[in-house]
Amino acid sequence: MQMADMIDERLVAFDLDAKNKEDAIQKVCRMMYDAGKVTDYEAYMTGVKNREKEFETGMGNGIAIPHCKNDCVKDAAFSLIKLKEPIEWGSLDGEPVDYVIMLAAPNSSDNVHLSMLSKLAVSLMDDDFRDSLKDATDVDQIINIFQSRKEE
Amino acid sequence: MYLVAVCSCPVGIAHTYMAAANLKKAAQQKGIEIKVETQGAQGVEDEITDEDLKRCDGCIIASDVKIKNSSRFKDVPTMSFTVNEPIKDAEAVINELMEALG
Repeated sequence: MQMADMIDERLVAFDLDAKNKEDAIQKVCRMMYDAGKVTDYEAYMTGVKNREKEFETGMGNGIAIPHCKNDCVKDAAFSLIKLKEPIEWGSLDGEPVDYVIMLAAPNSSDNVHLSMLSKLAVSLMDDDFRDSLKDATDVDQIINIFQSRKEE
Repeated sequence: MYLVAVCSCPVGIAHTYMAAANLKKAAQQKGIEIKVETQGAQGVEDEITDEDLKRCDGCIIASDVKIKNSSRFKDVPTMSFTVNEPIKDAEAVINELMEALG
């Protein structure tokens, strides 16, 4: 299994319109639900929001990684969402966020998928990976970026 | 110089591993040997052993939750950080420990 295998086009967007953090979280949670990754929209969103309350997930460089591990998650998944306009998120570097990578993890011991989510998070610490991901304008480009990361 | 570190966070799918990756990268750049244990949703990985504890000069705990088996480090100079600190600036975290070790 590779990270690229987990890319789901229904969870990729290049111009999501979000008024603020709350709105962005709602919309991406809805996408997770519509794609069948989570079975309970409200429960999942509450989980994501609770995690944000504990510690905001803006990791700097314009990227936020809201996430939650919950029984309502059916399949481990991540979103790759470029926002139309940057929004405030409460980031480590104080800068607004224009890219939302939401992670959904099931409450299982399915380490293969969990390790893919972790691998994605770790990849985001790499400047080149992060910059090319944010510059990508279609899914094929993203798949290429993920696959070239694998070969490192 | 040999450092050990433990990273952990509430959910254990993202920040634990980002902090670990950054600590390893910063240590490598500084030419310092480091072993980073992750306590995440995938369980404990790269566990710090008795042998590591005997050999290490200092320990970094980067966690927002109570880590498992923290009493291991009672005889090791240890500094605690939030999991976000090494994600923001791992070099500063290592420098802080190094300065404290003198």
